[in-house]
Parts: sequence; C-alpha cells; structure tokens
Amino acid sequence: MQRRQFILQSAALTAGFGLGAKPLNIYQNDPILVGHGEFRYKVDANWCRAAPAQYPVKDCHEMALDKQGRIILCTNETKNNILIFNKDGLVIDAFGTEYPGAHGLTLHDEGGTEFLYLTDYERHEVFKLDMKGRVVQVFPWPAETGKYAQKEDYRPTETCIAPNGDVYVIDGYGMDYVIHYSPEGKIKNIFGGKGKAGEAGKLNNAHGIAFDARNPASPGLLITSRAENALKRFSLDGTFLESIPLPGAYICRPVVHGQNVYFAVLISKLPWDSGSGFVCILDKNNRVVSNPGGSAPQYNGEGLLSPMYQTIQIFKHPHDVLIDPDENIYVAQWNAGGVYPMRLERSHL
Amino acid sequence: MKKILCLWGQILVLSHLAGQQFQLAPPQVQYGSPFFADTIGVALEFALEGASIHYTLDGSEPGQQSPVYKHRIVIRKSCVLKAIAFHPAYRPSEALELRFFQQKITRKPDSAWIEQIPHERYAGSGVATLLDRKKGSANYGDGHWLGFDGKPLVLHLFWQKKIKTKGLLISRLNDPAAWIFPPRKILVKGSKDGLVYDILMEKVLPAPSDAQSVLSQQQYDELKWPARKLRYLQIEIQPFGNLPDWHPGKGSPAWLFVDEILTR
Repeated sequence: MQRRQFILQSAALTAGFGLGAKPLNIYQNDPILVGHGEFRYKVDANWCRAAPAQYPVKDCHEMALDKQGRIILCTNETKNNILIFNKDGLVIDAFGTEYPGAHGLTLHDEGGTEFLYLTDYERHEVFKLDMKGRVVQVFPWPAETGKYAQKEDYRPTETCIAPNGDVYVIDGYGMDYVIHYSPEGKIKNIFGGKGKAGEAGKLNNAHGIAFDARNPASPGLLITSRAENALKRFSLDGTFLESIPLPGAYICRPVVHGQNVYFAVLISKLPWDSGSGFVCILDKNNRVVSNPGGSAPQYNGEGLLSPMYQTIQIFKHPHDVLIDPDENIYVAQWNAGGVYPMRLERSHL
Repeated sequence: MKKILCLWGQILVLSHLAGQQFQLAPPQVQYGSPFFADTIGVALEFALEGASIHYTLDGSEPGQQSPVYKHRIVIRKSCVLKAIAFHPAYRPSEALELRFFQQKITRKPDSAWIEQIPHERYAGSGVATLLDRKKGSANYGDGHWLGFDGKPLVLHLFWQKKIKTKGLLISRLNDPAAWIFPPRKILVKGSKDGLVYDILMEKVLPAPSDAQSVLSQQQYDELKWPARKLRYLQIEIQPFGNLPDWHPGKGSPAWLFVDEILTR
C-alpha cells in the first residue's frame, strides 16, 4: 500500500514537473501541519543527520545559534558536551568532555566576539567558554550570598546576559534563586528563591531565564517557574512584576524571538517522565497563540487560559527550542532515548 | 535532474506519511468521582482540529463505528468507559480507560464503625470517609484517604433491615515507593443477628515485587460471594506487615491506604 502510494506519487510528481508545477504547490496542499493560527509547522523528525556512534547524545538540554547560523547543542554526554551543527543537520564541530551536568547554554556576543555560558548542575558551577570550548571565566557557587550551606545545594540550570554584560544565573535544580553578577563575576544581587505555587516573587523549579526587551520602555527578565506552570516577569533589579499562568504546561526556558516567546513544554502532566510534551508560543501580550503538538489554546471570556495538554505524540520531553531567522523551530529533548533535535519548518502560507 | 526528481519524490512521500508516524495522545477527561449514587456526568475533550473522540461504556475497545463524543456523557450505572481519539492524519490514541461504580443511596448502612483509628495525618473524617463516594487524589493528605501504619482496617457495617449482598469494592492505593503496600489479606464476614458470623470471602493478595515498586496506582479490589441477605458485615483488611528486604525501609511497617468501600 505504502509502496504503491510512493510510486503513484512519484509518477504524479514527475508529471507535475513536466508541466512546470512548482514544488511549493505540493507543500501548500500538505494537510499535516502542526500548531495553530499563523504559527503552523511541518515536522521534520530526521533533520539531524549526525551518526550516533560518532557523536552520541544523552539528554539534549539547550541550544544556541551563532552569527554564522550554526546550531550549538549542549548535552550531558561527556564524549561531546557541545555539538555544532550546520543548518543541514550535519555536525561540523564538537568539544567538551568535562561537563557531566551540562544544562544551560546561552550565547552572548561581546562586541563582535561570541561566547558561550554553560551551566553544570553536577559541578555546581557556570562556565564562560570561547567558541572553541576554552574556559575563559568561571562563576563558582555563590557562597558569599549566605543562602547556601554547601555547593551541592546549588544546581544552576540557565543563564542570561543583559545588554550591559551583567550575568543572571538561575538555580533551577537547587534553591531557585536568581544570582545577578557583574560581567567580572561580582555578585550584585540575589532574589527569587523557592516558594509555593502562587507566591508572587518566589519560584518553583526556576528552569530558565531570558532577557526581554520586547517592550523597549521596560526591559525585564522572564523567568520560568516550571512546577508552578507559570512564567514570571521581574525587573532587572529583581523586583517581581507579574506572573503569567500557563496551566498544564511544565515550561522550560523562555526563548524570546521577535515579539514572541517560545517554550519547550517538558510535560503536560505528572509524572516527570510522562512523555506528554509539546511546544508553546506566546504573542507580544504573552497570550498563547500556538501549541505545536499540543491542544488548541482556549481562553474564556475572562481571559483565563484552559489547561493545555499534548494531543499529538510528536515529542516526548521537549527541553529547549531554538528559532532560526526563518522562524523554523529546533526542538531538543530530555530523556527521549538519545535522539537529536527535531525541526519544525514554519509554514509562511 | 533525475536525481532532483527522485529527491522530491522522497520528500513528497515523507510529507504525506509524516503524520502517520505519530500517534495521538489519549483524550482528556473531567468528572467528579468514580463513585456515585444516581448519575454522574463525564466530560471528554481533545482540542485538535479534525480529531474526533469515539467511546464505549461496555468495556469494549472503541473503533470509528463507536459513538462519537459530542457532549457530556451521563452515566447511570456501573461501567467501564473507554475513549480513543481519531484523526485522519495520525494513528489513533491509546484508550483512555475509566471505571465508574454506582452505589444506590438505599444501600447506605444505618451505622458503621472502624475498630482502629487511622494515623492522625491521614484520618479524613474517620469511617465516613470510606462511605462518602469521594475519591482520594494524588495528594494523600487531602482528607479523602484513611492511612494506617501497620494496623488493620476493620470496618463494621449495620443495616436495620436485611440487605442482599454479593460483593464488595475496596478502593485503595498502591505506592511502594511511599511505603504504601497492598494488604496481605482481606476477610469478609456476615451475620444476620450480630452474634454468629459466617466467612463470606477470604482473599490473599500477592506481594509487590521490586520491579513494581516504582508504580503509584489507584487500585480496586473486587470481591464476590454467593448472594446473601444479612444485617451485619465485618470487613477486615490486614496490612502487609513489615516492608520486604528489597525496600529501602525494610523492617518498618508498610502503610495501608483506603479511600472508599462499597457494598454491592
């Protein structure tokens, strides 16, 4: 049956080309797009063409895009903690063998030179690397804040770098504090900390952080409170501004792209290995506009969002998203059988 | 050129089969409690364009010929609800499976008591918790569970007028990682006069193995016996005893958690 379909379609295609049909027509007729509204995608599960024997991965934790358009992936596989892909999914560089808890990966352009900030929750430290993997700066566990009895209590998950070079580190697997450093690594502030659901300025599983300048008049920080199913907004000095509930969604880090915020949603129900993840996209007003692999976002008359859940089992445990300049989404997954990132190709129809 | 065409052929086929490689997730469900007196409403949901939910109430596997879910299902008797999501572009979901148990108000005993009091942290409203048709949640301290640390749960039920009984449903928890084990044995005795009791049913439960210890499960034990008319029922749920050698808490008493007991 499938074989026959293949032949028929190939034949139709050949004929189509003969008549001068454009490939785009085929694409337009493709009914299988995932997502909602303007944010619909074609799933390419096999975007990545690396050989697992050569470049193995365990959990694929986070990704970054450099100015050459290369996709940088961090994994807790110590054979190659960092893999660099070209946009065709081929590995073009690999380094890093000493980061068993490699988790957060953020790229920052410092006056034309790019650096990577890598958090390691098992080594309880954050490393600034150059693009060849050489350590240029270490942010040790924040003993001087007095909040931590021992370095084992500090398990950093993510970083973000403000335009002035200040570094914010988030302790999402530890005590949920946000530690604010000067570019030189001097601690300027500590805020957040673990709290119960609904506690305004507190966090619960503060998994990710992003600098948000979508509203240039009031740039701030977006911080994940994953176990609370919420995204929280803070000012750069750590003042709590608001909580954006995302019921049902155990969101990973916020990724700001244009006027939108994207998330990998690890799961949409407990337990943590329920394989119930999807991707979530917010508009400039922080309202959910699309959930590729998840339920259609539904707001009631009072603006309350219905609980969201997985509908199509495209992903198991999405852990990070990366958006390329064409607005395609790359999805890295935790605890998904050592799979490479998938690609969601944006449909601009 | 030929090479390009071949490649395009592959892309086309991939794009058409792309959906079929994925399976749908099961539908969502909302309802009050699986225990009810007269009727209960069950709402299903699956917010995916082009998808439909098909369901059955007789325990059979739903197919596309089964009823389509349109609005809230009203359940009027004990049943097994199964629901599957379908979509032309994706493989059907696994079945969502739920059991509902009816106990008419006329079966309510005229009095009930338990011999041993539960642990103070999991005491609910005492014996009433076992007869209130409310299901305990994943939060074991929600007041709908009775928890016993090493003690048996012995429930006595009494009816003024003789009542026909032929079985029992015990709703309990199995969460070895949280030290909550199945009971060792369940013994049910009945009497007409409160003096002479007959054994109606005796059930020995298998001990969980190490491999099962990760699973937290809400469990139903269904016991049946030849129908009898009686006024007194004594239900003795023996605890597991000390935790086995494979368990991190070995040697300490296992817990017993029960949220509801229905007579049938």
